Amino acid sequence: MTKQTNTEAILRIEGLEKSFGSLKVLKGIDFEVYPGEVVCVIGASGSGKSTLLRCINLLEEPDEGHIWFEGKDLMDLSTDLEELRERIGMVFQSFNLFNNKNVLDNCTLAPVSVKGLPRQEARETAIRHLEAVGLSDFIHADSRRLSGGQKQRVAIARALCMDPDIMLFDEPTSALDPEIVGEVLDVMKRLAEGGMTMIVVTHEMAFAKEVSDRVVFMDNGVILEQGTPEELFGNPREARTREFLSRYLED
Amino acid sequence: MRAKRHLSNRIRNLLLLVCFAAGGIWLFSLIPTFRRAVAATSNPTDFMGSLFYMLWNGRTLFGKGVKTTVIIALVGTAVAFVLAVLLTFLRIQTPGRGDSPLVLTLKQLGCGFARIYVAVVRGTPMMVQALIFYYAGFGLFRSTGMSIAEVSKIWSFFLSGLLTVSFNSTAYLSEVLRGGIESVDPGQGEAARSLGMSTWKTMLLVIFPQAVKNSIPAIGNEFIINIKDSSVLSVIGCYDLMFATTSVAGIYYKALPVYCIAAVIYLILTLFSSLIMKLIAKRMDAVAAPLPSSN
Ligand SMILES: Nc1ncnc2c1ncn2[C@@H]1O[C@H](COP(=O)(O)OP(=O)(O)OP(=O)(O)O)[C@@H](O)[C@H]1O
Ligand SMILES: [Mg+2]
Repeated sequence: MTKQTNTEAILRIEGLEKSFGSLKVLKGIDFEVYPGEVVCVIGASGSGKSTLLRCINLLEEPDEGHIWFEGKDLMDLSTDLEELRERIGMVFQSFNLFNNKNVLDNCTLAPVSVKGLPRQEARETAIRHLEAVGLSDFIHADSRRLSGGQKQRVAIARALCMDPDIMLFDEPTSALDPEIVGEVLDVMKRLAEGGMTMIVVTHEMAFAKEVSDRVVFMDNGVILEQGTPEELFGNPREARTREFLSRYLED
Repeated sequence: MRAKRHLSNRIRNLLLLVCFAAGGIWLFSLIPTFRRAVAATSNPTDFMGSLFYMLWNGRTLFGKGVKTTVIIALVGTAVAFVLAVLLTFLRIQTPGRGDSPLVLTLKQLGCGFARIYVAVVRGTPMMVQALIFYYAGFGLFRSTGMSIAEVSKIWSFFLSGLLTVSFNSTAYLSEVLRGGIESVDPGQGEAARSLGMSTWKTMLLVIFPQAVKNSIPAIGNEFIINIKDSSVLSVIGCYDLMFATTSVAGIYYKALPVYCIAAVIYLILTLFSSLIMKLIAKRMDAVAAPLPSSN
């Protein structure tokens, strides 16, 4: 947690609450992320990790609380949500590529239609990002015909094309075969090394240990514990955290 | 398994070939009957002779009827598609963040209108719709002080028939489009919005093109249904194939052969259309649906 001493938080969440019907999924989340930080969020299934992530760009509308991103509160009705979302990239478990577009058009659609970038410029940026994720041979491929790992790398490139200030990843490798998980994690690792601010919901403990600056453990709608990977994996304070981690170490 | 499929395919092809050959020979054997019928000065007494006689002598009427039927089905489906797009957009409006009470009310009204429209149109026979529409339109024009002759010129049987089909199909196509929109994985919409695209842009650039593509087979079905179901427009005197058929039957005082002619022409039109639809669907990479049942 060295990075927070001399900079402003890029994202600050305060008192976030969210229910689905009578089910309270987020029960008051307070949470900050600093520029350049890589935060991994872990926790049992159903603990509210995805909901938290989806609240950050308001794909899910919270009931209570504040979400300040670069100084603007997303919960404020007068905030231009779309303008903020341009700078919050998101990568989904199920890739969610646009099926009616090829790989390149997946990457240029938002830069052209939202940012108003000239087509040629958007193309060049897209090709640069696609090359960086190792897909230079698939630029004109039909996005539906790619493997899961390739799709997810396109999804990452697509988000990067908007030149975001933060990237949200919701279990980006959970839908992938074990042997291709690595190709996506490698891309994310390089992104982290390049200084991107990232929040990664993941079950990949080795990745969390190696790449993250901070690990957040969520349990039952609250952040139960957080700290550096060494602290959290090496010496968890809470019994619940130990129990969760021990189940992972058994596997 | 493969070999079996192969064998059954071959048997099917063989059977088809036999059927085609038999049909061809039968048609060929009818040439003298046809010649006789064309030259005849009165309606022959044998079935095929009479059929050919009426087909030949009523050819301009049939031609006019076919033309009207095809135009009504084609233009009607096209107009219906455009209206259905509008109706569907009304239907799928959801309350947005920070909508003013006025906007919310308008959205609810639009959605309610779309639902009622679809329910009413789907819940009543097109024949009844055609009659109500025709007479209501007629009355409306009359109320502006036009004479009957003037009104008939504008509010023709053809126009009211065409609009009936259009408005009727609008309801069905909007259901088709709504289904097409719902069949697009919502994750794609979320991805678009996460990139900063507005609800409108998401709909226009991501969801809708896929919804239309998914709907192509069903739109084709609607066209084929319109070819058949426009036959009810003959009740308001719209000169479609059905009206032409009834006219020919009236002229020659013989019903059965004429209606058989109509059946064959309708069948040719629908089979030909479904073939074209299949080609279009294949080209557009959409899945073809089987021949539809009637509305
Ligand atoms: N749209 C929704 N409607 C109703 N309930 C929902 C919805 N989304 C999530 N939930 C419920 O909220 C709870 C938390 O879900 P969430 O997806 O945030 O968990 P998670 O920590 O991401 O779990 P996982 O590891 O399985 O992805 C779950 O009980 C889930 O069933
Ligand atoms: Mg989840």
